[in-house]
Amino acid sequence: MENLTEAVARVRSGEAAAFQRIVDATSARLVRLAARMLGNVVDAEDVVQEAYVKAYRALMTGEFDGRANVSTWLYRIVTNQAIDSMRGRARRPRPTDTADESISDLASAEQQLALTELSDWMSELPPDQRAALVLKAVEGMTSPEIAEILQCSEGAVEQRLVRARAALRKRSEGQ
Amino acid sequence: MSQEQDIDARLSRLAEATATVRPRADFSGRVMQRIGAEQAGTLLALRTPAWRFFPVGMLAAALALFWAVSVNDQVNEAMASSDDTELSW
Repeated sequence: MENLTEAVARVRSGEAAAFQRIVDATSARLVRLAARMLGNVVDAEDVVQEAYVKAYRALMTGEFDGRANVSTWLYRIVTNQAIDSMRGRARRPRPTDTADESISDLASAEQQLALTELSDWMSELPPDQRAALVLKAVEGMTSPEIAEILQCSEGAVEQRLVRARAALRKRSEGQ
Repeated sequence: MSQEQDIDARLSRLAEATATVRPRADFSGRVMQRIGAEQAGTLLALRTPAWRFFPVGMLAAALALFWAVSVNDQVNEAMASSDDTELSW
């Protein structure tokens, strides 16, 4: 992601249109990350849109002071939003036909199948383990980067990864 | 192939298959629309409390008008009485 410090400074000075540059530079990667966690592009877009609104508010209220890396900060907001969405979904399971409809027309058939396969495979993992595994094994991030995004220690990241892999191993043994 | 390798291979395949997932073309526009609504909401939120001060403002304006009229009357009376005063040299 490009350096967005200047765009952030412009938004903070009241130029809302400068936020477009942040969206254009980051939306593809953020929606892809959310889709990999949630299993479809529609839910991913909803989550990322909410994340952008939160980010905008944080910029306007001065909650984000601009010292941290903008991309990492956005990754953190999207990841937290996706984790909340997964927890909400666990309480209110989404009807299957709506989920099938939601992914049509958005991605190629192969991409749809892969997102669904990823989501189904990880469906029994707790949201924080699922997030850690997607960030590490699918997004290709390092443990220190994941620790910064999930706001936990590297040890906690490693522990989540070990547990997630153990759960996936157990699942394949049962099949 | 061990189970660990199996998991790594599957994750790697799924990462590759989803590498080109993108938002819909109008996504950026929809986000900016939400941001615009958010901005308008912030301005409205700033304006709304001002309405609370409207009655107080009206009362202050009425008192100011009353004071101006009474001061004007006093000045008129003073000027009228000064017309009757004879200046002695």
